[in-house]
Amino acid sequence: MRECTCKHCTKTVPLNESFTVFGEQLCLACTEIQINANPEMPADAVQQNMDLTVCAKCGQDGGSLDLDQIMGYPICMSCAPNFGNLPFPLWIKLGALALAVLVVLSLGLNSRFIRANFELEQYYEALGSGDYQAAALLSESAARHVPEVVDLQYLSYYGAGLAYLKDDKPREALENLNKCRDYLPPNFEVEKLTKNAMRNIAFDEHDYDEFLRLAEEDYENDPKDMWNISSLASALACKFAETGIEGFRSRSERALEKLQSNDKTDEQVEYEMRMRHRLHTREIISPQEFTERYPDGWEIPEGEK
Amino acid sequence: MFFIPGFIITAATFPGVIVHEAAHMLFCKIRKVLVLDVCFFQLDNPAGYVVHGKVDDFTSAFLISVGPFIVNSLLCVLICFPAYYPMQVFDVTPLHSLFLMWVGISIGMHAFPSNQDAQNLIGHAKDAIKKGNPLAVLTFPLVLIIYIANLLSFFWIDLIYGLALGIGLPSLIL
Repeated sequence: MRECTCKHCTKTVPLNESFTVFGEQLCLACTEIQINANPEMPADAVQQNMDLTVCAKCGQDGGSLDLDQIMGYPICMSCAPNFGNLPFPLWIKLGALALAVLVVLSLGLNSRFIRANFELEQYYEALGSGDYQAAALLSESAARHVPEVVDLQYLSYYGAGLAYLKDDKPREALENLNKCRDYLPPNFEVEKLTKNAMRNIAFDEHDYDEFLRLAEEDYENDPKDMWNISSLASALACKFAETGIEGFRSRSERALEKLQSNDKTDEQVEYEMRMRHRLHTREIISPQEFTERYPDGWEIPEGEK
Repeated sequence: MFFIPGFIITAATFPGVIVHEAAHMLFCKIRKVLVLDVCFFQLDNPAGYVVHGKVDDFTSAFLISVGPFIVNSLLCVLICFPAYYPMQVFDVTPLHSLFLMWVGISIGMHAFPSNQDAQNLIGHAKDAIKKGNPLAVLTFPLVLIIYIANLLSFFWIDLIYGLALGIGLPSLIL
C-alpha cells in the first residue's frame, strides 16, 4: 500500500484516501475544506487518487508492486476473472424462473374464465340464431368452467329451457325455466316462456280447460301479441274439438282471422292449417303427427267447404 | 396527496426493483458491457443499482437505460392481463389474481428509468447526434419524459403508470 502526505495539514494518509485538488495532494478532511471554501469549483477539479498496489475490488494489499489494471482499475489475481463479468446470482436466476412460472400460471389459472367468456359470446350468438341446443350446451359448459358466477348457471337453465321447449319437452323446459325466472332480466322474457311451457303441458295432458285459462290470461295481458292470439286460437279449437260447442269454434276462427297477414312464415302457415284441421275434424293431434300425416299440407276437402 | 416513506413503497413493491436492476444487467450482458457492481434490492436510496463499465455506442447506452422500461412494462402487462380478466369480465376476484396483480403492478411501477439512467443516455445521445444518428434525436423528448415522470413520482405517477398498464389496458381491451 502506498501513502502520501497532505500538502495542507502534512498528515500521512493511504493514497486511496487522498485527493488531487487543483494539482495538490490533500487528505479527505482538507479536500472537504477546499470544496466548502470554493462552492463554484468545477467537478473535475477534484479527483480521488488511486493506489495501484491495492485491489479496487476486494481491497487486498499487493505490497509495493503495482497490480494489473482492468479498465483502469488495479485488480488482484483472484478478482480478475470475475471483474466486470459479474454473473447473475442463483437467486436472481431462480427469481426469473419463478416470474416465468407466474406468467404461465396467470394465464393457466385464469384460462377457465377466458374460455367461459368465449363460450358466453358463442351462447348469445346461438340464441340469436335460434340454435337453442347449442346455446344450452355452451352455457352449461361456461357455468361448469366458472361455477362461482351463479349468473352463468341461470343462463345455463335458460338455455336448457329454450332447448327443451323447442324439442317439445315442456316439463323439462318448465323445470329449467323455474330455476332462472327470478334472476334474469325482463328482456329474457322468462315469464312468457314459462307460461308457454305450462300451456304445452296442459295441452299434452289434454287439460284443455287449463290450456284455455292460461291462453286467455295471456291474451288479456297483451291482446296484440301474435303468440298470445295463436295460443288462444289453439286452446279454443281444442275446447271445440272436445265439446263441440259452436261458441268455441267461432271464437277460435275470429282469433285466427287476427293472425292474417301477407307475409306469413312457413311455421305460421303450418300452424293455421293445423288449427283449421282441428276445427274441421274435431281431432286434436300434435304438430309432429300432423306433419307426418300431411307432409304436403292439409286443406278442407272440396265437398265439405 | 399523502406521503408514505420511500422505503415502505420500495419494500412493498420489491419485485419491481429487482426486475428493474436485473433488466439493466441483462442488457449490459447482451451488449457486452462490463458489469462492475450490482445491488438488486436494498431498503435505501437508491433501492438498487448497476455499476457498469464504459459504454461505447449509443445503441448500448439506449438499451441499458431504457431496457428496464421495456422489460418491466411487458412483464406487467403479461402478468396482469390474465389476472385481471375474471375481475373485469365476471366481477370475480380470485385470491391468486390479487397476488398476481400485486406482482404485476409492482413491476410496472418500477418501469421508469431513473434520472441517472436519463443522464447516461443524454450524454451518449449528444455524441450520436454529432455522428448523424437520427434516432438519437428522439432520445431528448424521451429523457424529458423520464425527468418529468421522476419529478412526478411524488404524485404517485409511477403507481398510476403501473395501474394504467395492469388495470387500465385490460379494461380498455376487454
